[in-house]
Amino acid sequence: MALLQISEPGQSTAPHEHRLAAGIDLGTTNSLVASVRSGVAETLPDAEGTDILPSVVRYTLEDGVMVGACALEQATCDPLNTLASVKRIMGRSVDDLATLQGYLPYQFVDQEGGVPQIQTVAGPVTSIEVSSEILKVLRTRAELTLGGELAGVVITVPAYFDDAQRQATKDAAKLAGLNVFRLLNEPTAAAVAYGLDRQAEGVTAVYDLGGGTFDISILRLTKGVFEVLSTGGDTALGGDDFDREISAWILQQAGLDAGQDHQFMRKVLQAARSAKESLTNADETEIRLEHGDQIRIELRLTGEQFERLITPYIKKTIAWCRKTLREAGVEPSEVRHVIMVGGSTRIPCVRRHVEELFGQPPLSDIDPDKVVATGAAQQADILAGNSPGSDMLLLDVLPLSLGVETMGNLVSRIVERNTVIPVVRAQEFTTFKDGQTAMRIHVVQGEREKVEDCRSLATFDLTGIPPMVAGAAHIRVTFQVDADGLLSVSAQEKTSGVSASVEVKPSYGLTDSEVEKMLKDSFEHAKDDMHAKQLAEQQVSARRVLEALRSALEKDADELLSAQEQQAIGQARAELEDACEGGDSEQIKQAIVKLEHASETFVERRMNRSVRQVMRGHRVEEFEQD
Amino acid sequence: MNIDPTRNYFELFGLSESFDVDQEVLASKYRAFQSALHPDRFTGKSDQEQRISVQHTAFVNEAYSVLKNDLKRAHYLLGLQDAEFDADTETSRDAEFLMQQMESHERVAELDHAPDPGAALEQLACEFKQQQSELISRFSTEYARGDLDAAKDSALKLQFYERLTNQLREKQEKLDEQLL
Ligand SMILES: Nc1ncnc2c1ncn2[C@@H]1O[C@H](COP(=O)(O)OP(=O)(O)O)[C@@H](O)[C@H]1O
Ligand SMILES: [Mg+2]
Repeated sequence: MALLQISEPGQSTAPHEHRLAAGIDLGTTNSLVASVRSGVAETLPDAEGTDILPSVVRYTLEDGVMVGACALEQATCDPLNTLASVKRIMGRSVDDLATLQGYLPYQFVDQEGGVPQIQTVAGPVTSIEVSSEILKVLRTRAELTLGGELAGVVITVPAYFDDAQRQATKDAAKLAGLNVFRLLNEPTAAAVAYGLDRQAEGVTAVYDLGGGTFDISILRLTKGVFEVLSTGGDTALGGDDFDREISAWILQQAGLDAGQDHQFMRKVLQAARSAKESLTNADETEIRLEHGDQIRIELRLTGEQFERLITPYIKKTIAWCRKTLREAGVEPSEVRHVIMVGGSTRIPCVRRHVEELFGQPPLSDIDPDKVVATGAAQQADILAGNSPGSDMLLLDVLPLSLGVETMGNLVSRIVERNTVIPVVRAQEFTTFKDGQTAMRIHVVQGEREKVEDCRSLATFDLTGIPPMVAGAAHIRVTFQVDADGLLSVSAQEKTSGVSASVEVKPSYGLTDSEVEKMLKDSFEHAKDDMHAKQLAEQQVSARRVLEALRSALEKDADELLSAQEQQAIGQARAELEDACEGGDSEQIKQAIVKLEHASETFVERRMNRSVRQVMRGHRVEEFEQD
Repeated sequence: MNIDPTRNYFELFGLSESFDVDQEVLASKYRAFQSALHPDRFTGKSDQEQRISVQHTAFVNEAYSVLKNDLKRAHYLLGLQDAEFDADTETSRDAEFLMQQMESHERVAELDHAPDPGAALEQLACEFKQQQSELISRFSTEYARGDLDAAKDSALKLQFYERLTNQLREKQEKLDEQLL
């Protein structure tokens, strides 16, 4: 198979030192952490030998925060302080909750807008904080197992997550003290786990049915590069729905109504879930349930009845598959491999429907619970630079179109969904009043024409536009989506060249300063800790900058820089080295900025040189090997 | 902000400035760029290098998305010759063509009443594809001989097919949903 050689300046510069890296599957229902050890990616168990960490967090007054199975055990007796499935409300607004609240037995704090807060005995918490508790446990587990601090992680998200949801995930990681190499789509991670990147070329479909989400992704591999052709799915469809259907059936059969009795409802849901899971290997199952002195339920659920209850959901997933295949311009018969991901794909009738659609049995020899974390670990290992031989490159796409609000509440598209990221697009705006110096841009995400049918991401206030007559100012607004699918915006007035400043007001998420504040609060009782941590962090970045620059200069300084330019860089370098010796993290930070500024042209020139080399076209032919 | 905003996309990919593009060459150059510039190649590097890598990759992605799509490429070529058009306000002045387009739209609207909507839709999609590829080769010839007015008109006509195709896709989605 043809492989693409990595070329300068992407190549690792220093003689390689192994960096600890992990992949994290932050699931709605279950979370896992995995890492590559001695060349093999495997999920990491806790001290009891269990890999799966239920994504459940319980807040208590006496015992602090409990995460995982121990929290789940208490779900029935302390339902309101035991938070499950918070992934469903990641990046969601207070208004969105109206549609979800029936499913989530939490008490939300009454609030106007902002990030929704859940009331617990330990005070109000957001889904971001709850997720960070899960991540902290996985981080500790990985660091204890691997014997050191993690250099970085790859965290997976449903391919369908929008900007707000991705940003919320990144914020949770930041709160947990994790460095995120990359957010990776779950289905892409699954394909990596199956090693399809090293196999024959062709189209792969990944069908992921978990507890809370459904995703279908169509991937294509050509010459060592993975492309996501299209993605589709539903962020509110999964095994939880099956549990609810069975619960409703149980209550109906028993002629009962759970009403506001959260405890009873939890019990019924748990019974429903174990009934569902035992039907994987049996034609029928017993449901037994007691509550208080009054309620005793004994029922028999057959596989057939269960299938009748869930078939509408499965058909919905199949319709999504067709739609997504069409978007990719691929016929079901052209698909080479079908991968099953997520606990709910163990259900026999799910497999049957999928097999019917694609005309082939799906791959399922890797545990469908572990496949995503395993693939994420492999990608984390590559990004950490631990497998210099691997040239695999994942190209990803924007899951939902980005647009701005225009007259009449309509959306003007700026970046279409399924565009390969990172991507940058510029759009011109003009003033409509004489002397207008400010402007507001409302960015939305979604496929619909009307603003109210899309998700509001943020408003950007542009200020400092030079006053001119109406229509004379041309403000060029640049929308950039990075490799994680996250948006940033910058603006410049064209005739004067003045850059307008942009202030972001996220519609749902936290502002940067809010995240910073949360971080500070979490170190409240350990101020020294925080200073020490900041200093260590700055020293690490400084060393990274110095090392990368040193080797780059050794190679290319004479070719690309004048003596004067070399001297300027040399001076900034010396200043940073001095700052590193001292104990002032702020001073180090400033010295880094200064050095980066001084070497900006050098870095640009090197990058441009690689562009020229590719343009001249040696590279591909030269390194292609069979 | 980008590699070199003045560099045109064809030059970047080492292609001659014409409508006919060897998609194989384009794709292989694209992958070479990705391999050298993608942010995943810079995870351990300074923030500065990561930032520049994102900007470069974004530029290459944008260039590639234009060059690989017929309509976008046509639009871009016209722009290079200062014969750009505004798809929202301008339209073809060919009366016969416009009549035919109205008919086509009616036929799409009537699909719902067809005895077998799925098959009728497929048939229509096939016809449109045929007409579209005729227009594409017409554009290519017109542009090559420097007849920019004619080329612009063909590009404007192609725009109509973009819309028709979208309508068909929406219909197809509705059909899929009805099957549930
Ligand atoms: N044998 C089984 N049969 C049916 N459903 C199962 C089985 N095993 C696990 N599940 C379901 O899988 C879901 C969890 O899947 P998982 O992939 O961990 O979810 P998520 O990605 O949403 O965290 C739960 O709804 C669970 O009940
Ligand atoms: Mg999952």
